[in-house]
Amino acid sequence: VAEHSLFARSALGTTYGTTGNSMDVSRDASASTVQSPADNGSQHARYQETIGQITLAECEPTALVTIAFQASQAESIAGALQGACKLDWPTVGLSTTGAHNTRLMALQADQYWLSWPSDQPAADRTAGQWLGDVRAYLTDQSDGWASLEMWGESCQSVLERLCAVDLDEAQCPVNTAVRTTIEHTGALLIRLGQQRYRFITPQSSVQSLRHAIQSVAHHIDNELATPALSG
Amino acid sequence: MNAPGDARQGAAKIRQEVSENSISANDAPVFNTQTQRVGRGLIDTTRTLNFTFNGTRFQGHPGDTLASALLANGQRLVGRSFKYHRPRGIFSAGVEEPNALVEIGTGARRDPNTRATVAELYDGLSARSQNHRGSLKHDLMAINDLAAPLLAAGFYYKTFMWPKSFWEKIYEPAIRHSAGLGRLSMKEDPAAYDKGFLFADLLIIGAGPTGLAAALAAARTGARVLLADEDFHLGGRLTMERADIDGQACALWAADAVSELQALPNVRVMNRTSVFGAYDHGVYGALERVTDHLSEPTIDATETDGGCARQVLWRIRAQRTLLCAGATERHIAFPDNDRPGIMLAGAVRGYVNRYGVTPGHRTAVFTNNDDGWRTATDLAHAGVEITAVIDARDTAPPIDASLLQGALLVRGGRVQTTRGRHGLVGITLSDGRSVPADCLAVAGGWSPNVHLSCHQRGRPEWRDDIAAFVPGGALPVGMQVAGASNGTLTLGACLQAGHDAARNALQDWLETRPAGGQHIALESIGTAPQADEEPSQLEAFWQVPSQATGMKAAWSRSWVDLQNDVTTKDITLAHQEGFSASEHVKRYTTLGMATDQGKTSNVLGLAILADATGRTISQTGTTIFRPPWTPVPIGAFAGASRGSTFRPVRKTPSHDWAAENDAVFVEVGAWLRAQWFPKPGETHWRQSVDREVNQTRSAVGVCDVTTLGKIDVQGADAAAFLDRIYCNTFSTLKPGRVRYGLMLREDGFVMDDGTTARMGDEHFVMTTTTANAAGVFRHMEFCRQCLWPELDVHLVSTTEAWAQYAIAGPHSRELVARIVDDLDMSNEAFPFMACSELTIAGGVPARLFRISFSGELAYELAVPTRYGDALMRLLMHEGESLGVVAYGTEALGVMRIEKGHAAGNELTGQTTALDLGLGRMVSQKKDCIGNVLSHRPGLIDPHRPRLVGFKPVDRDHRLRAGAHFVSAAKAVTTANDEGWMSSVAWSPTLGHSIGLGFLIDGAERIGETVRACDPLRAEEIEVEICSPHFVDPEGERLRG
Repeated sequence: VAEHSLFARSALGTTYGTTGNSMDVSRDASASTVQSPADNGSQHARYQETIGQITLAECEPTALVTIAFQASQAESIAGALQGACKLDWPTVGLSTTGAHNTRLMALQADQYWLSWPSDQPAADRTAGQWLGDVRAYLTDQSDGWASLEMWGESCQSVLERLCAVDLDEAQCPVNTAVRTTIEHTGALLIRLGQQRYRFITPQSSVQSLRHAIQSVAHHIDNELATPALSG
Repeated sequence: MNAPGDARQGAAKIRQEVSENSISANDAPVFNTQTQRVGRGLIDTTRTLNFTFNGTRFQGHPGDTLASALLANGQRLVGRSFKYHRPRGIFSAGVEEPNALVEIGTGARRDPNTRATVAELYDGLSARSQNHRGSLKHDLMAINDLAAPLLAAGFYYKTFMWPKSFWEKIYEPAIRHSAGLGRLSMKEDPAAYDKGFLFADLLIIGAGPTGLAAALAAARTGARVLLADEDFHLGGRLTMERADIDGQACALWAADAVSELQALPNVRVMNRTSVFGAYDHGVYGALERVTDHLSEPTIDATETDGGCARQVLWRIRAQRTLLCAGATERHIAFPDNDRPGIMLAGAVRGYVNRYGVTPGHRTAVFTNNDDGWRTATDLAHAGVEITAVIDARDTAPPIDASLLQGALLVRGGRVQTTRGRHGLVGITLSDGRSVPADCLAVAGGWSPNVHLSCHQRGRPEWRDDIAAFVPGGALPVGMQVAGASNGTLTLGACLQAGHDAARNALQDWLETRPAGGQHIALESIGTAPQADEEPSQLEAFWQVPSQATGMKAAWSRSWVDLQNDVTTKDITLAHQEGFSASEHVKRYTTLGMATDQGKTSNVLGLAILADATGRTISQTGTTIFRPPWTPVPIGAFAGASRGSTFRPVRKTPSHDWAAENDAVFVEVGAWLRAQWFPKPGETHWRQSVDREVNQTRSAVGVCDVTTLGKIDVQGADAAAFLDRIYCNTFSTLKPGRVRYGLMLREDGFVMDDGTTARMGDEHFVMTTTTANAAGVFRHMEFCRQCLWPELDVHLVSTTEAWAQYAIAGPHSRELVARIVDDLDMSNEAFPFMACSELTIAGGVPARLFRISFSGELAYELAVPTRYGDALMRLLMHEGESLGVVAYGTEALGVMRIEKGHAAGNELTGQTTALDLGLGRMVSQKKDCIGNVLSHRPGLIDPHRPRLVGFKPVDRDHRLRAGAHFVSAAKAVTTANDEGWMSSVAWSPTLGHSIGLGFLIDGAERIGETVRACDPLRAEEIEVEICSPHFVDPEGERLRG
């Protein structure tokens, strides 16, 4: 068995660790001669950009696990997550937060998504530990999705040009978690605060999604900066 | 200082000398007298705006439209008519304008067919007239008018019949060149467009008196109100009338109402926003013109930070909708009623009241209703001379006519004809009297704007008392109509109607909405604003027959549709020729087509048609109104979906590595996949592909196959579920093993194929083809949720979660062994179709599958996507000493054809398992989707074309995909077609072209020859029928 290490990289190019168990970007040179973008000096800091009154940023590495279950198991799962993570059981369309910075998102009656900050692979094992003996079907989705957050005063103006979600507070209260489409890309939209949202979107096309958000944000910013339009 | 007349002569000279396109608004000499200003109206006269029309510089003020500014400067001639190239002037003051269509902007920003009546004036605006050769005044194509008797409706259907071939090559291009409207720039639109979504409890379309009264009422209840109006100055007719509301001038009342609404957090007021269509389920389309009124070029779509979106296309979902779109005035058909200076009466007083502009110094009024008298008094009040009021009715004036002293007042009168070549100079009445007039205000009655009420197939109903159609039949879901668009044509009644409609709409919603939700306080709705009722009597009157005789009669025409040059003669001719249905007449004459969609002409045309057919207008009926209400640029519908942002781009985990290694990419769905990797010295793609194939078959190759769909199937019933989804059995598959699966559609044809690995008793990982990934997942979810909800099975797409690489070739085992942490790679321990979860590279979780698409000893190795880039680099590094090569989709395709594997070209949705040689996979021991229908006689016909291989008899010949097989000595006809070539490739392994295809009785004909005929390419070659497995037919390599 050869000795190697593999660096981890986000869909937006951020290199953030090696070989699963280490966060040390400066790898042991003797283990491998493989060049990573980090070795070439092209490592990127995590993406963050302020455009007018919004800031758009790549989230820190996030574990994302799907919990699927038979309806009869819902109560047991809710109890286990309450015990392990102090998570309340949300109704479909909403999310709750708990210990370990976990967020439990109810996307459909028999499928909830659990997320928490983590740069470790195999997040389904962690979720499995939290659930203990409770029967549920776990799928690690951490690598399938990329997460962006947007906050600032223009959030609503930007979002209403991107997705078909009614952002009125009565319809979309804080902690709403809904599936939607943004410029032909499927995405989860989570309302984190009055003016703070998270997009969870397929990692392969996150650069397209970022460009779409950037474009609209620039349009809004320029409208606000044009007296004839903002007045 | 020059007198106005001198100024006009000077301007005419300037117009001849100045090139239309080379002068900007600030460079051109000034032709600015604004001699037609008679007041301030609602414009800002403290600021001056420069603009050009056909290269001549004019001035106007903020608040002007291009039309009002042109009229202020005495520019009456603004265009040429569609067919006869008649001089045309501004006809209306709104979106209904049929004549004053101009090009605005220059270069790529040129917008043709812009209605000057709604184009907001800005500093530097550059406009040009359309549809003339030579100058606007001296249009060479005006010769068409002399040939008018030959150019009646449908003339080109009858005239250009021979020789037949001339129609497409000569006649049609010539006709199109000489007729038409504006010119496209033929350059890429540099503007950016956004598309968005809005939501409201109550959408109010139109901010006139009805809409404002409704919005005020609804807003006070706390409901979410969205008020949209296409004008930049809200108020609708209130901006153009002299009337009082609640003791206040109506324009001021409207301004106060708008201010009140804008200050409320539950109200969104959108001006410059046209609601253009009513769609399914209460969704409305609206176009917001964000920057069209700004001087500076605002956008460049190629730049991320390129300014503002020019326009935003909104999709509005409202719980309830109030259509308060007002009404459009119509004219009367009389001979020569199309000259510049002949306008709608409501527009004439609108220009005076709103813009402080009189279209004429001496104005006559021709009316069939009380509203025409209102125009006369408003103009007189502004000091404009009224030369005559001709009322078609024989009734007393409805107003105090003392203001009209000096004007000729005619009861039961008719305008018989008009005079003035480039602009009106006078009119002649039926009794022969001549009246001087440079403006004729025509009041033919008001037609409610019912259009949006008809977008879901509602059919309007005729009302005799107002001689107009009002909304009828089924309205779009949740819509109510109020005010003038519902046939309520007086101010006080409109205010009350808007107020009441808002209450009714909200009450209706509160009674039907789900429990809970936002509190709406209907008790806070207040009372309706009050206004006096104005006279509004009307007597239907449509046309004045021509009195011309002899040769003059041939040229005497009364226009119905000014935009399309449709006259009363055209409509009666259509009837004579058998077209009596309104839809047929529309298409034969073009009545009601083009940018204005007949807003001023439809009802008049129907009246003429009804008269010709002897039916009532009600019996004649209308044509169907469809979206959009006003033109919407294609760019707005596209939004950001253009060029490089047409669709999201999906990048594979090895994309950056591939780009660094000069990969040539190909779009596969939304994915960008490496097609091949050219090396220095390779000048043709096949050199690269041949090298990749040869090196893979002789050493080892690596290909990114992440794009194949991956579906996590878990649950106690997962195996049973797969047995029903696949035609072959999966419940017998042991954990740690992989099986090829074939999926049928319900109709028995093959839907998709792929391998499925059993990772545990209740856990399978299915792969699909790249193209069908989403479709298969959707199909499976449908089966799970709708067909078998009792099964304990759960699906999650994990396509994106795993980076997966095919590692193929005789050295593949060694390469994989170099990076896995702890796995016995021997053939005995990890045989063909084995799978395992493991770790690689010191602890990275991974999945390894021993499967082969290339026919070689091969593996597919998957890691969490975060490691995908690193794994590709590691494989290429560790494989260097083994002769590793990266191969792209083209080499992948070559190797699968060499191996005889079916792919997209074979899985067309029209082939069966039997056709593919996989008939035995359809298990008869169990049921599955598609099993029953796969046994239909037509699908099990033994003579259906079957998959076989083909080689050219002359090995130097090249096979063509798409060629059809015909037996020797038979004619190349459809009847003799025996099958088709589905995939071909140059085989570097065999050194000649090979192909896969479907041939009748194919399996029984191996060794025979047929002709592969390609009539499209005029090619025909002889091919040998062979096994589809060209390389390693026994499978020794992949099992080795």
